[in-house]
Amino acid sequence: MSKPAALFINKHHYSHFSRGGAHILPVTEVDIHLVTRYRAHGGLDGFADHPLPHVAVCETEDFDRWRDLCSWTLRHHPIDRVIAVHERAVLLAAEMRSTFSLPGMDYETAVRFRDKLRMKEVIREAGAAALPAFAALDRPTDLDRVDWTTGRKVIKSRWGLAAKDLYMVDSLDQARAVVAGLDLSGSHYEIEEFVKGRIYHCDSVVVDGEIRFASVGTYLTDPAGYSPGGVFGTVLVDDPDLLRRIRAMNASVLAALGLKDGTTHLELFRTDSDELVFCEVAGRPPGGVIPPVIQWQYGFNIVETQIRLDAGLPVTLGTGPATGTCGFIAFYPGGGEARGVDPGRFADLGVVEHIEHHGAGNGRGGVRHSTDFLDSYVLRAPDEATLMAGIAGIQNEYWR
Amino acid sequence: MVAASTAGEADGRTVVLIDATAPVASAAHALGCRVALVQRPGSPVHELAGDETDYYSVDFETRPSADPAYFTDFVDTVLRPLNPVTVLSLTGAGALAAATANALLGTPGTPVDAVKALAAAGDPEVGDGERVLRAHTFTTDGAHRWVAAMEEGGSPTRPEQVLPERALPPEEYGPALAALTGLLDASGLPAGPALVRLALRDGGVRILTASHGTGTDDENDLIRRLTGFDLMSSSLRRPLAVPAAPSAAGPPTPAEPCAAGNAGEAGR
Repeated sequence: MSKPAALFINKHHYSHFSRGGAHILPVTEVDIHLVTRYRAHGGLDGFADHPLPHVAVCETEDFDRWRDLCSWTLRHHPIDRVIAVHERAVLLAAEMRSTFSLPGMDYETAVRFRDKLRMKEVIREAGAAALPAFAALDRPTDLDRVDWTTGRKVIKSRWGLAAKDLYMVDSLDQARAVVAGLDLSGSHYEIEEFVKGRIYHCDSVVVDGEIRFASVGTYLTDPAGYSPGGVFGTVLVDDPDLLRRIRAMNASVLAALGLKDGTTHLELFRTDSDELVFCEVAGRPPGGVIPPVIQWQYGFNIVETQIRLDAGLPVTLGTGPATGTCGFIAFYPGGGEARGVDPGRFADLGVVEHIEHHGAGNGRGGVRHSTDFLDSYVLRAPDEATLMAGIAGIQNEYWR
Repeated sequence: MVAASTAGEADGRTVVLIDATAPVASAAHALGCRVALVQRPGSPVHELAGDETDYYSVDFETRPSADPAYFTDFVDTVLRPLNPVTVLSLTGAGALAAATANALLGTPGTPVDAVKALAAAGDPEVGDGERVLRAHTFTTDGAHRWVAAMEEGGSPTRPEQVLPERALPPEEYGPALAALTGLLDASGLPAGPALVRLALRDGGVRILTASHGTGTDDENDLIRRLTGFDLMSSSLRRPLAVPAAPSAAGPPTPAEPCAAGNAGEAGR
């Protein structure tokens, strides 16, 4: 009996699917038809070590071309599953499932997880979470209906990712100046109330409509604040009451948006008055270095989990250590050449993994997005205080 | 690994290549066009694709005969938007797919009928006492040039072992040339390479098999070194009117260049 087959729409470096010598594509269980991006963009990195027989390479920035290639592949091959991990591939994968009547997240559901305006409308209708005031920004006159007496606002792309296409404005005049430089056609932008507070994230696994796993962490810095020479990171949260509250919001939001099988990455604000306010949620695994943190803490790879769920395969979530905590700190490009932590110091600092990211930066000294890291360090520690001390130690020792 | 195909940015043309080997893909990337590769499932994409090469795994050889829509839809959906100037293949296995694609796209290339006529020619059974000769030809504007004659299984080291008129005695050369000319004329091959396996015995010659393509990369390299004629380069460059690049290996080694006048030309 032949194996089932799946189309894998990929926009990551191919090496993203190998970690610690393990290849996470389920090639022994599924025939994978890979559609990947150009070699110049990493679409074939490490392919020789983990080849696949069915491969298509194209310019994935050309969405029509990407869609045509996927459509032809599905029309002429006995494929009944579509895999997608990257945010930009998730919607296309869902479109393909809906077009070809395949199981998995359909297009309407994917739009609720992708369009930041639509998702908040659904959440508001369901009363699933506290939300900042928000509105579509389809024409400059939409700004006139915004309440400017309440202070700072955020203008952002409804379809953006990794904190790109995001603008803070403090007044109507500022907003008008920003909007003058944007193409508002096509319903691509929204405006919402700026929420001051620490940002948390809840990363979960949903199987057959049931949340089987939900990890909570908090960012060390604002994801929108990425800049050359800057840092980013996350640490897991173990405060039981906060965990309970955030998991409850996560459950309400996911129920409102209606996900049957998959992984999610939800972000929220915790205000100074301890209110939890929804920010956004994606129907895919977390990005950056959160998956390694989850793997070190809980013993499974959440990216692999997404791939297996999309492929219709059973998943094992692992139990992980009962004690201790985990986090990472990452350094953006820029800020100097003399950098890096002496590996001999890793044990003392609690570093369990150092990830050197290839191709970081925009080549002109800039940072492209919130996960455009150059070096990342994953740490484990017996408690939060030790973890934070280790992170501080890395920050001290990184710049030489 | 194949070098980056950045030269194609300046040219702006796209060429589709079916069933390329790594050396052929590498040569195509040096042409100055964008390159799209169509390869059998399981081909080593990492050895074939350049930095910005479009690449597609397609069963172009066996499936189209049973399921024509598979390939025609591929051409219409995937290749047509690339707006290629032509679709090429240097192998007999890929020749029909390339011709079919050109016919569908309306791009210049070898007619499907010519490819089929060559593929249908001959009787592949080798009789007792027959020697098998691999005849490599190259056609330009309907004029056929017999580039090389290689004993099947042989290991030639000198030009006179490969240059057809010198490699064969007159009593075999004449009939072999006539057989090749007749076959290529009858097929209507307007341009490009052909590989014809001939059976020879006692001055008699017959066609065993024929295809629109070159031999192996090793054969092409050997022929280039011993005759000065680069089948691979010519097969890629002439359809695109790209002039031949200066040879990195220096001038050809044979004492006599394989050009018009050395009786290496067959046909019109």
